[in-house]
Amino acid sequence: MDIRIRGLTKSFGASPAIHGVDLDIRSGELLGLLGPSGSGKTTLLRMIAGLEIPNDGRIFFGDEDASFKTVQERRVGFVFQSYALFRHMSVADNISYGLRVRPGAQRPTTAEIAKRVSDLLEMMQLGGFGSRYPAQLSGGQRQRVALARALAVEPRVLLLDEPFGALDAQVRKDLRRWLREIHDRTGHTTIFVTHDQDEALELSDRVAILSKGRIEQIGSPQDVYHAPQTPFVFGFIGESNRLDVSVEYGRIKLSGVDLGAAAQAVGDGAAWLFFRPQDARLTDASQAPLRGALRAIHRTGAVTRATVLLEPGGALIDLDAPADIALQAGQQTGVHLGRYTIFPAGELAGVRARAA
Amino acid sequence: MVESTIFREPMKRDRDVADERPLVRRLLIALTVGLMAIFFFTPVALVFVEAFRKGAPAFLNALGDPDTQSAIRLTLLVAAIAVPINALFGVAAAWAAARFQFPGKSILITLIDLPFSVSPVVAGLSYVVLFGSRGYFGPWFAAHGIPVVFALPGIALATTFVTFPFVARELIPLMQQQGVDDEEAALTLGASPWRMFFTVTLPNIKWGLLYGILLCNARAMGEFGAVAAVSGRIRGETNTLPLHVEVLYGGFDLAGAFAVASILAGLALVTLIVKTILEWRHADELAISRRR
Repeated sequence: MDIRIRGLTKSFGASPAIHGVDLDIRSGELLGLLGPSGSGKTTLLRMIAGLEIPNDGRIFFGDEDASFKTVQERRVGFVFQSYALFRHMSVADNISYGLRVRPGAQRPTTAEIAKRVSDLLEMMQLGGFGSRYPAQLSGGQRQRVALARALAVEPRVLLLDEPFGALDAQVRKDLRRWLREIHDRTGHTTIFVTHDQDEALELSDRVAILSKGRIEQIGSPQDVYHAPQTPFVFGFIGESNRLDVSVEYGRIKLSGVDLGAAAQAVGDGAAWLFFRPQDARLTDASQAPLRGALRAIHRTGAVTRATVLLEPGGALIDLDAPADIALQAGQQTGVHLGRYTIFPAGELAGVRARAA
Repeated sequence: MVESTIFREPMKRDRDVADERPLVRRLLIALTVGLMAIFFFTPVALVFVEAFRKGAPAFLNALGDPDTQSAIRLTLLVAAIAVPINALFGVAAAWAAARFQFPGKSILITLIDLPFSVSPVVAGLSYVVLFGSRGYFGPWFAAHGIPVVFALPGIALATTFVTFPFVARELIPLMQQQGVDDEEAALTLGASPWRMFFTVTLPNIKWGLLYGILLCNARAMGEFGAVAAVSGRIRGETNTLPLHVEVLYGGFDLAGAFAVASILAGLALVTLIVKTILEWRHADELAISRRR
């Protein structure tokens, strides 16, 4: 089931949560909604489910306009961050709930329900847990019961709100792979919300990055990492450095020091220059226009990082350094910039690059 | 070896720094138990002693008195009216307070507590002013053949007013803490709102609801002040158990007064026992506001 969202807008009181969002979700894809807290990602997910009523805009499930359908009519599977398992029901009763509440004519027979429950328990690797109660399960098991319960009703789209938010690191990683497997096996169109970029990048076919109620960029995990289209995305995904520069006649100036011609076409005026730590390197101080004093060397396993206090501008930047670096803290060094992206300076959200 | 045994010795601490000295502690405990014995256990025990002073036949005789029988019936009837109404109102009020944001919500929650802060007699009198023969609505009801004051409707109204907060106060913090996730999950799974209420909401709040109903019922049967103001104390007609006790006592029928009082005391003990069992078995779902 493909989903189209057009001009969706929602405000809570005076503060807008979602600003005219357009989004196309392809049938069968696993889409991650990624953003910092308060970016509106959960609100967007809840509007798709029908748990939140938009102020404006349309939501289509396939060709059907679902904008005014009730949550029951939409037939979505929703997995809550808290799992929201019914604590007074056994695991099997939780899973079969959505089938049991159907009106008489559509309700499967008791035998069919039992079969469906045992199939789902099997798929979730929860065989033998049917008669337990939620309080007797671990966090990871509860999360799988919640997913089984959502899948039991054969939803047209599966929606997951921070599905791994309440789990510890190792369980998260296992469940992530396992969710991907379930998705590939069942083929449900799936949208999940997360604030964890590793999770979004590892799990998703495509990632939609939200900030302040707007979609900043939608693309494959490679796209959003290697070709960020807005300063927000560059700063939010992965590690990055930002220099406040100005562009004069196509040349980049950092506090008056000329850094060369801009690699991308950008208008004159204040601009932001973004680069990743691995896209810059230390050079001889006499050769580079960008110079500074080495502040510190950090070694974390495979990576060696140098922190440099730039002389022009006075900004602190992090860049990758060779593991056998001989420089001492306090010594002068040059910095060679490899790949970088330059954006006209503005708000951190909602500014598109003139050219990527 | 010698050094290590020193460290294996468990650390002994006679008392926490915040604790009193043993003597002070014992004195405080003795004082509390003593005061409880004098002011609480003895009076309750005496109720039963006095009730049976003239033996079991006299006790049964007092209870068999038609006026007493009528008081028992009226008390049960009033509780049977007031408690379900308040259970319903309590669930509705808690639902509104926990689920919705609306202007004046905090005022509403404060108003729910009003019956606790107003003297019951004042509540009863205000019903007399409203529904009495010279009250605002009284003549209209009288004209339609519905007596309110000095009759069952007035007693039920006054009792309902006084016992209103019990269920609501128990459920508001409980429902606020539980949140709406479970209910939203039921809706996404296709349940109708009523289905959701009976299969998810109600089971989630059942122990808190039962606890509130229990306290509500105890107060409904024991209420004196508000009922005294509206009942008119017509023996055999508008006397509830607590009013009947006072009537008997005023008429120097001590054995009768204590026999009827023992019913109320017995009811209180049963309430206390059930309440303790509930608190012990379902502590996690009860009285979240008090545990905070």
